Amino acid sequence: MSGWWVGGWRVAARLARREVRRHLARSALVVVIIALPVLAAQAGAIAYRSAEATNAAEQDERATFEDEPGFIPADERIGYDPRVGVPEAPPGTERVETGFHISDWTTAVGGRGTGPDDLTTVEAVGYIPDATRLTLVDGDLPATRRQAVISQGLATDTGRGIGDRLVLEASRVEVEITGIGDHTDHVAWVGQPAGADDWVPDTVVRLRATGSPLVTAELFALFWIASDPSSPTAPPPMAIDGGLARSTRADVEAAVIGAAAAAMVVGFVAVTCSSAFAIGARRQLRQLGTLSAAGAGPRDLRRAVLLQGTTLGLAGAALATAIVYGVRTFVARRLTQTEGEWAFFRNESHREMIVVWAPRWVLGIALLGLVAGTAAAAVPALTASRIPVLSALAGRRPAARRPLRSPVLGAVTLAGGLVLLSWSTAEPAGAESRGVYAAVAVLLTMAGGVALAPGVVAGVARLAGRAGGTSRLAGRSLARNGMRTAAVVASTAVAIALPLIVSVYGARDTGESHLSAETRTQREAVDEATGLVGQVYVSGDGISGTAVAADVAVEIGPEVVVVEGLFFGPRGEPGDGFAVDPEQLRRVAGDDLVADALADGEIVQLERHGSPRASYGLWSSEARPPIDTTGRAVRRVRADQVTPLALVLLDQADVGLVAGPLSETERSASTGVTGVLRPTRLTSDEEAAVNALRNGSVLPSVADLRNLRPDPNRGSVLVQVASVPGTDPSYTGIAVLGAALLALAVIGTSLALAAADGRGDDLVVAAVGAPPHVVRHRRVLEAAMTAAAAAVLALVVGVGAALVVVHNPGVDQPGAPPAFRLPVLQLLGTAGGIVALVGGATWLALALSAALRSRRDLFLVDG
Amino acid sequence: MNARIHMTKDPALVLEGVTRRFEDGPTTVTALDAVSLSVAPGSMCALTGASGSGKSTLLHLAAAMIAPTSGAIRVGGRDITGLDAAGAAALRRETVGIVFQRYNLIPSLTALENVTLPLEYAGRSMREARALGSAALEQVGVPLPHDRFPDALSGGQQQRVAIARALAVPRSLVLADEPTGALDSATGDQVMRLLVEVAAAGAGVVVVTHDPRVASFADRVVSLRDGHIVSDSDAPGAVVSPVADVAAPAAPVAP
Amino acid sequence: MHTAYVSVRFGILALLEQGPSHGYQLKADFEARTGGVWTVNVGQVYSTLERLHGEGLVAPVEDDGDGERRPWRLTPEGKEAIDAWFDEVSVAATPPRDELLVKVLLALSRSPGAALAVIDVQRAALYALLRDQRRGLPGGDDPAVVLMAEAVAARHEADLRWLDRCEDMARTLTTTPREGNA
Repeated sequence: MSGWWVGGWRVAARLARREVRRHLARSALVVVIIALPVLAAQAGAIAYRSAEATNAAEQDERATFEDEPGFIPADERIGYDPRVGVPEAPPGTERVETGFHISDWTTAVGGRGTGPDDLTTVEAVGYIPDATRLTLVDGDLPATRRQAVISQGLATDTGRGIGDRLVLEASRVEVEITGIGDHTDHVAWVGQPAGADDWVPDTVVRLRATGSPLVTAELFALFWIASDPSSPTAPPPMAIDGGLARSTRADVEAAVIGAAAAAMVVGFVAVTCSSAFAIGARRQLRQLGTLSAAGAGPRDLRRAVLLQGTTLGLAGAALATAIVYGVRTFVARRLTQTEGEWAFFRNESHREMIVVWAPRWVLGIALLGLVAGTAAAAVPALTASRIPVLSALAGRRPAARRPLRSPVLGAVTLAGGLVLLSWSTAEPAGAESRGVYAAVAVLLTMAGGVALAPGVVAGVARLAGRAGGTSRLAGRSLARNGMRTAAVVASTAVAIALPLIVSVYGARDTGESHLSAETRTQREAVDEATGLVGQVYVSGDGISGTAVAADVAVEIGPEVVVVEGLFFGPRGEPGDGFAVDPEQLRRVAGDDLVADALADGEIVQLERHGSPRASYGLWSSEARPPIDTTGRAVRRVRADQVTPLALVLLDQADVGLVAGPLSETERSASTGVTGVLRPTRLTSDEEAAVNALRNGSVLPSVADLRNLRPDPNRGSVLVQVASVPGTDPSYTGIAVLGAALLALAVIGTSLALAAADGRGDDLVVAAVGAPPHVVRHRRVLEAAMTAAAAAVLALVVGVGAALVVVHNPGVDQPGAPPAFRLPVLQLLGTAGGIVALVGGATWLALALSAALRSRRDLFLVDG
Repeated sequence: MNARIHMTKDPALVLEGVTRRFEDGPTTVTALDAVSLSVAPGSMCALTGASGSGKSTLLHLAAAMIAPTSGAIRVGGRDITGLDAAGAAALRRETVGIVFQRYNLIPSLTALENVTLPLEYAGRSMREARALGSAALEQVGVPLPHDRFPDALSGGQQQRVAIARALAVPRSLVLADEPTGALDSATGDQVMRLLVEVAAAGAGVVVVTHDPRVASFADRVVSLRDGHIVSDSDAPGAVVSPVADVAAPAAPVAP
Repeated sequence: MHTAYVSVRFGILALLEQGPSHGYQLKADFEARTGGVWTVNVGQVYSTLERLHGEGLVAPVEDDGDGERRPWRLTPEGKEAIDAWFDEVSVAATPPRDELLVKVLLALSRSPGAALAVIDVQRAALYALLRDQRRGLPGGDDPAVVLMAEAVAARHEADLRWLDRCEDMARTLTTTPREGNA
């Protein structure tokens, strides 16, 4: 009777069972050594998903806006940064409307959406001052901010209708389409609650409709204007320049990280399983020989080894999963109530952490581990089936093929992997498909590293040989079990590479922050410099981290002294325009002021450093504001709104607005307005801040400060500081600690395995009379050398791969690599620290076990 | 002993001009040089000789663990010269039983499970295998229970179990490589008597040994030296392999 | 003293220790007790008895018989002698001298090759002898028989082992270069 469960499998299963039971400690070690990487990857997946969920939830609650209590001047245009938040409406505001400008999500305008769901990105500019502008065609007006009305055109193009849902990108708010309407200017309008308490400057950055081709012609903006008719100093319009351009580079990086994590699990488990089953142990060899002599064919021998691998792989994966769910059961409640800074979840608002247990990921990784373990046992299984019976019976290891080709093959594979990695992370197009290539590249890189491992081990052993004494012994011992040591080295290298890569990325991030801080500072300083109202503007409430860029510009704004002017409308009645006698314009600031004759339709151009920066002109109130492609809206000034001068920057220099300069107290809606544009003085606080910045470490670009002379006509003082958030040590620290523990676990269990298998050697050594500390020192050196070889491999492969990715130009700065300096000391220190930690821990463990163990008869019969 | 052995008219083992050479680093070693031998079924043949004489090589060739460089080998009439690994394994399952000096048994399997190994690899059901195995263990005199592990058995009992494994399937040829080497003389005698019974039941038994006492149990003793057969107890007077005449030693041997 | 003679002499003393006996009986007992391998001449028994009597170790039993049927007994001196003999160690003082030994040694002086030829032939013959002896074993439980057979076999085996030594020596002395021998 022969069925599926034929004799060969039955014997193999029986052998696997018995082997595990007879050598319970050894089997337990192997199970642990498999469970570790699986557990690490599972924990990482949970952390990643939890971080995602937490951040998404946080964005959802962007209504609080605790940050940035500073007020924004009328002419300020704030670069909206969701990380910073939007300023609060000033007190006394009854109704706040905020507006924002939506910019395109990707740089590819006119093509297909490049988001992961084939997104339609809709871009629009303009504003809707009030609901009366909206003509409802069908359905209802939106009542809450989770409802929207879309235009007919958008409905047609996106295929959405009443009742459908759209997702607002930045806030991840889902809105339900309640109506279809028409507006002269816009394509969509998201409703606002009526009361001031509910005001929410919505952080909608883009409207996303899935599944449709890109609509290029439609633009829309949602614009709330903070207004309070009764307040003399009504808050200015906050034109929030939205535009969180999510770079595709982030997608690719996510794919790379995901692939690396999966590859880590597979590789780790596979190489350690391979090492555990490496056909080197004499006992195992003899057993295989006996089976062969009893009639086991090559297939039967393969089955015997393979089943052992599957059994232990299953046990390891199950152990890891059990630990995860054990933690979940007993610790979960406490985790979600923890507040404070976790390394992964560091965020400014210290919100509560959401923990996502990601069952699909956890089980998937466990399955991956099982498959990897089985596949890894396949290699020794193949070796087992090919060993000549005689060698096996004699306990002689099969003659190891000279692994001469291995380092060459490894170098070639590594180079190929790095090239593919560079290509797949380079350009922004098509994040998803690139992600696949990136994953393949990561696998190739790791495979190359693994193939290089034997060469590294041989090199380390040779170096140790020169040192002589116990080091030479240790080196020989490592080289003798070449393949097993190489496997352990490869696994440990993966562990050590993690904090190294984190360091490289950290350095890249720091460099980028520096660069963008400088750039942003300079650009915004230029933009803001022509403000006519004195302002101290400090970006960010307080400076976290290190201030690396600051621009203090004390602008001597053009002082426009109006002696006499008219505020009139197109037919002569008081209106929206304001004219000034150009002869009255008095030059106050160098050559910046270009005085031209001003008449209706004519302009005065203010130039700064030779380029037109601001235009003044006369503009009739009936004219529609032009909409240009960059979408900077022109704000209309109404007659009844007496505001400080709002200077509107236009790219088009031929249309402009002049609003008359007003003093704090002088205002008139009639003819004959006189006012003096007077720069405000710095308050004492502001001055202190400026002084602090002057005396502190600021970039030489603000050396101009010293040239400034106190001048009551100073237009504005702008201090803008961009800071780079300091690298959170806890994040790096946890990575290093985790890597060290993982390395220690791998090397420790591998040494224990080797000791269990090679106990005979120790007996001989003891019988010869060597003192016990000789064996201990040798073991410690073995551990340290293994770790050192792994560190070398990690530095070469891990840092190399990280550098390749980092040096790719990103979406944001095409062609310009970020400022980056390789943190050599940090890398060497991390690697060296881990090596020292492994050696020290091994020494400690051996010393402790020697002290604790009672004097037992050494000569136990070798089972 | 029951006639459990495969009765055949063919010789249990035939070597025809078998040569075996292998590389040992730069030199070529001739382990066997054009050796011819025929072992009749139902008899025991002992192979003696100093180490390096080629006796173990001959045994390994008969078990298809190695292949001859030239010549032909037949077991029970069947040519085994060109067997591949799978074929050799099948040979060892069905036709040729082997007993070694030590480490015959898988330590993690019981005595009975060790005996049933070839049966299970041949695809027999567990019940069938256990029945045959138990019977074999009884025949060789291993006391119940048969579920003990090898480390609970004495050396002699372990060898008996190994012989039982060779008997669980009717064999044409049973090979023994220094089977008593690890045993004391009394136990060794018991094992040899068992092998004699095996031969008497119809198998051909070939025992490799350097111990004259062990060889004395055999019907025929063949001696090897340097890869040649130099004497055969079936033909004591004949010089089987003429030795080249060599020069006299420089000095006379002292009395 | 010749070994065989000593054996008969002390054999008689040992047998008489167990009780008086006469010549023929002594011969039969001696043969039986030593495995039936040796045949002892009755005349040799009687002459040995006379000699022992002359040394005062044995004495005839007065009352019975005449001539050959006269029983003998052990004297106290004889008892002492036999005790002493059992207590002392029996070692062959001189090196063994038999034909095999002489033949091989002389062959070695001819040439190593000649020695090997002798060794091979002798070896085959010895194994044939051993095999025949084992087959011809009468079996049974008589310890004397079994042990005597073992003694014979042991001598053969010792010779075979010695022949192995000779073979090694002869090969070492070989001057003809052979193919590389493992």
